[in-house]
Amino acid sequence: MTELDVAGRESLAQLLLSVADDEFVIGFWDSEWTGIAPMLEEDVATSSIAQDEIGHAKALYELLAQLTEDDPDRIAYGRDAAEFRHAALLNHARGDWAFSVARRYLYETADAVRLSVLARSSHEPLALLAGKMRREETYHMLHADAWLRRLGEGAPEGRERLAAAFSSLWADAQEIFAPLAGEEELVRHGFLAEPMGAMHATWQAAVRPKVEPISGSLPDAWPTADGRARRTDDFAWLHGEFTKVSGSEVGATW
Amino acid sequence: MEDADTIQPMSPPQRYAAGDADAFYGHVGSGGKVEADDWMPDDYRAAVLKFVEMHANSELMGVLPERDWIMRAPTLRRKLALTSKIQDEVGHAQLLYRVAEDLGKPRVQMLQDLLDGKTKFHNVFHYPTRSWADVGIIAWLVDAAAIVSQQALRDSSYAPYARTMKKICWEESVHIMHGRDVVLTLMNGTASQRAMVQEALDRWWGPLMQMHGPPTDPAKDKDLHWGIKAKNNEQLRQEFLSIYVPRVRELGLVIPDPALRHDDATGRWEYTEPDWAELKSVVTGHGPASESRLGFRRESFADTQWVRDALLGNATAAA
Amino acid sequence: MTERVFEVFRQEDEGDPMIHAGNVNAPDEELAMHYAREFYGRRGESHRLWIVARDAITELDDPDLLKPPFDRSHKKPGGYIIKHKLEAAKQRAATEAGE
Repeated sequence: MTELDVAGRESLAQLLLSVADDEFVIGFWDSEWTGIAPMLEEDVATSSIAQDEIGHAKALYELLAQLTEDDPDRIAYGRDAAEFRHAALLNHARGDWAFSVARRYLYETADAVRLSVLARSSHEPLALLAGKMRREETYHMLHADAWLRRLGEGAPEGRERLAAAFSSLWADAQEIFAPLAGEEELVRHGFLAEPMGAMHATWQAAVRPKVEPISGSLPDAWPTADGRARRTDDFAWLHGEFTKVSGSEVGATW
Repeated sequence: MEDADTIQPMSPPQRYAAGDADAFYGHVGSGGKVEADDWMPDDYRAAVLKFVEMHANSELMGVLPERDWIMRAPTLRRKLALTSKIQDEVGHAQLLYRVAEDLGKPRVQMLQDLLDGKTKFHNVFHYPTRSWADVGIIAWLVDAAAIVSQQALRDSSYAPYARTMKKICWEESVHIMHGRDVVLTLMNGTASQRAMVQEALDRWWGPLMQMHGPPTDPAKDKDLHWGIKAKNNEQLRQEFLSIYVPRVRELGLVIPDPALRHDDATGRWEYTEPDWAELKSVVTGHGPASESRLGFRRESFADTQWVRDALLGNATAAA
Repeated sequence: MTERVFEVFRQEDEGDPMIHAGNVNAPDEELAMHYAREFYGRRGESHRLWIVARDAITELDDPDLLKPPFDRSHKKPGGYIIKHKLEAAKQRAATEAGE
């Protein structure tokens, strides 16, 4: 790995932050199912997946902290809501079970595309981390797929709820591939082996045939410029919750 | 003749005939074990079921006091540890409902009885949590008091329960370490963090002392006789105090019972008599958080009924 | 379709025997596999799992078959006590050698 120039470091930091924030926020929403999932066995499974995401976020924040000489917990807990860079898909509260299943399916499929590209990153620590994450994501994808089929091919109520969830999440799902500040730098250095646009196309091509039999035909959709900057009241609430204790006494150790 | 080399005949196995209750109680009273599909007297089956069902209910309800704090855990590592701990409690509920179900009561029935207030869960889960320090105190001391009971149950006559307890005890030992770590970090922190811990201890000490239940008359304690549990309530409380009072005091915390002292002559801990009336009122659903927690459970259960129906194809699907 | 019980067997390390670990409720084999992984493998504690529907298992616990009354000690190592015979044989051999 060559010495990073300022622009290179900046762009890499933005990339790491975007992936870390995605994992952090989805991990939070899904961890809300702990204790109240539809079945006890499923409760434990969902909690494991949510914990994996938090674990991935932790590793990504640690990588970012090394790069920017910061502290991982400070990055996770010390920012205002407006400074988060997760995709708009993660702005929504967990909703009902169908909503969570739909959002997770859209996220896992997008994350699979992204991770396969990050595993080829010229920034070795990121490539290694992405490789590790992909191994854990195998289970996530199996599980997301199992629920897609069970709700999508089962009783009418499940199918309808799932279809409605996909329709309402479709636009925001594109934002996993929202343009990043400094994307040209990322591609030039090889930190990102493919640009967001290409990843977006790959993902859509893979996911439409799985989702449309359930949701019906989905409109054309592309990421938008503020896809990682716009926030919602739901996220504001979440942010308030997770900074409640950490923010209660500045500088304290927990 | 080779008398010295003759083989001693095997003694016949100690078993009881199906239907012979006296022989059965002789068997369990002398350390014998029972499996799910062995014959057992109705009394024994009912006693084990009641015991295990209350335990399962407690694990499930025990999730709720701490659940709010999953969202509020102040560092990445604490978030992981706390989510994992609560996940384990849900897992324990599953393990215990499975044991109970194999005794003949369907899971959906047990969940419904819990929500309808017909069956009980342990006192400590009827109280609210107010601060991050509660998270530490619960994971450390409440889990410790529970593990003292649970270790004694590893030798239960009902073998499926005993085996489950071994797994649960192993998992709980991790929770206690997490709880103690949280408390230690706070005690080594700022003055207001230490005050937070003391305040939490002040609120939780009473329920903790009530947790193992009032002393029972050993002669009348069926659970003890039948080997369902191995130690009586007072033994468990004494064990808890012996291990944990020194560990609490060495941090500079004050236990809010001025009468608490170890009598070196008798080897017993003396303490202010816990409020048994409070215990009774709480476990029958009149605790400060009883109704709100059951209400929350009823709501979540109702909200997810469509999923169970979709998956299992009938209106009486269990969670 | 209703819920079924699945028994889970786990292997601690490569080469170890499969040991019964517990059971899960699941609507079908696929989810049973996921749940077995959760309950008996989420901490990375198992090398391998077997997941078997409970109704696929045949149980035998009849003491007439498993603990029958007649002497079967000739089928086990402990059924051959040679201590005194060996003593006698050694002594005789030593005596003969000394003649």
